Amino acid sequence: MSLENINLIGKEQIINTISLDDIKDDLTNNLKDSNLIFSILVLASRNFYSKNKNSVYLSNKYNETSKSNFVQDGKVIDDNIISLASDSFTYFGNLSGVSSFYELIDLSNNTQDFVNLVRHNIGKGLSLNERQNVNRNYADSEIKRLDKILKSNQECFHKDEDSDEIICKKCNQFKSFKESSALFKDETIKNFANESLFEQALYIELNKVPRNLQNPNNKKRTPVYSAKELVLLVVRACVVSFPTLSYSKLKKIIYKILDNYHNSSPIYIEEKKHDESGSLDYFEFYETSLFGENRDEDYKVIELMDFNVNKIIKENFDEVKLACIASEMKIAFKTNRELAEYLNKSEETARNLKNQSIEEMRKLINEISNGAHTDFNQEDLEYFAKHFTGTLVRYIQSFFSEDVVNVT
Amino acid sequence: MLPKERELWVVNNSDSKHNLVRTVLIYKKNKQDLTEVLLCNSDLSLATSTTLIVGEPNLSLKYSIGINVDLLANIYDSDGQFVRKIGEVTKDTFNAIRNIIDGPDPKKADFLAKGEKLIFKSDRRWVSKKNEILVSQLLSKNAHHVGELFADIDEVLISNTDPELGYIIENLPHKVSFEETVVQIDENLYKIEKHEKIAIAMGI
Repeated sequence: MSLENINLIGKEQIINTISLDDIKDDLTNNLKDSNLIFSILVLASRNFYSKNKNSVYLSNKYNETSKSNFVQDGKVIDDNIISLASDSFTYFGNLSGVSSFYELIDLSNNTQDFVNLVRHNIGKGLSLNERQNVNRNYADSEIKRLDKILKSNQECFHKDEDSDEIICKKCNQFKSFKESSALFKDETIKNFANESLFEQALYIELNKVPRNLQNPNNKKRTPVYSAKELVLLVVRACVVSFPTLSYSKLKKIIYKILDNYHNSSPIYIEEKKHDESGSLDYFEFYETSLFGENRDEDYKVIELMDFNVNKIIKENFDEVKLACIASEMKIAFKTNRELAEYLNKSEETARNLKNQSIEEMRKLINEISNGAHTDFNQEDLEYFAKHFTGTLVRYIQSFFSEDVVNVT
Repeated sequence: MLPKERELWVVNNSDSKHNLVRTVLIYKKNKQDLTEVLLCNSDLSLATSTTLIVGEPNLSLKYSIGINVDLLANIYDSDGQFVRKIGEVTKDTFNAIRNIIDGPDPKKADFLAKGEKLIFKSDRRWVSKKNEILVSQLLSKNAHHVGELFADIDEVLISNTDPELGYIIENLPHKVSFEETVVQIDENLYKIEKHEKIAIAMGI
């Protein structure tokens, strides 16, 4: 049985007779059932498809060869164009990085501009949606690894397979973290006024567990957390929510952290392509301005330096040492007394720890400057050492920026 | 219609080979028709710790935006860059932004969400930030010198500033040499200095 053809509004009518106010009104009144918006999406998709018909990604993703029952400008539209337009409809305003239709109206001078911007955002949406799916897969794989750890016999915690509850065994790691944490050393202060503050505290504590950056020279992806760090995530979460911890809550917070981790990941080369239409977005001319002629190479060097810096920080600085350096740099704990309180030690011990940490940092930076920790060429080492210290400062600022949580 | 404080405007700069279209918040009207604006961004995945995320009911748009308190441009009303007003933020929100930039109480902005701090230079948000610094320079190009100071924002060593905003890594070995950028503050550019301090204090 053949379906009756559905007529979409044609190009000439859209561009010449429909105003931006008409589109705005239609959005407000009929968003999901709007023939006008869908007609514009199909028009923009046709244009996008014809300009990118050699794209392997596009032809793999939209490989239908049949005709739809939609007609625009007297032509029966291919199913793949309709699929692209339908998918794109869900991106606008929902997928981070793809503007909402309302914003595109605000940015447009006329209907032609609006159609161009819609087309531009269809391209962005495809790329960003793909990235989001990949990132979600990576986040899922971290959670699968965490699942395996929870199913194994652990010294620190236990979870029955059918239960959402993780039971803390008060292990040595638990005691050590609890003693060193100013927030949790007193049982009486750990009554969070509401769920949101509890989640905030959980996020802050779990966000301090170190993560791996990806080595740009490796094709294989490194897990974001090592097994040791996955255990640490659970132990820290146990301290915040002692005596029991909800696994679903833990997963929710880890997904949030990994979302932010992916927002901070390096920009991908394929995102840097120009589109001749619409306004420039937030990356589109850095390639000629921020890097030299060897843009991709220069960027890879920065990625590699960051990977090395992160590795060195993870291997050499635990929370105590970071707190001591933060104190020395006046980023946090500006007096020895404040540092002592944070570390739950005497003032004298805190002072000694601080001196020791600074001495170790000085030694480490000397080693870095001499090439002991990286494969960089001799002439790049001074630049790398500078990069290291700058990044370390920002790392410490970030680490201690949210330590005050409102509790009742 | 001229822009007024607290309003959100679309600005357009097509003087260069790039056609730059941005949403900005009108922050302050100065003498000689010079308007200070803060660059906004609706891609919230690019928000950093200097981006205030504002949505309904704190602004009159149907979508949320990030207002970058460290990305300032100075535009003359007569430049022709202001295209149209698209909305405004609430008085409370504007007051919160004022308190972050000019004081006295930055905590008044605590009700607004912010992004995560920038740590690594390969972070796509770092690239975006550098790009937007260039955008602020282009938008400001008719305002004498304004914006140029932002270009070296991550290279600036704060040696003579309020200790709460800066620090000196005095104990590092001499082999690690920091090239101090001399920031010459023209009396007309005092605001830039303030924004720069905010950016560094907030981890940029």
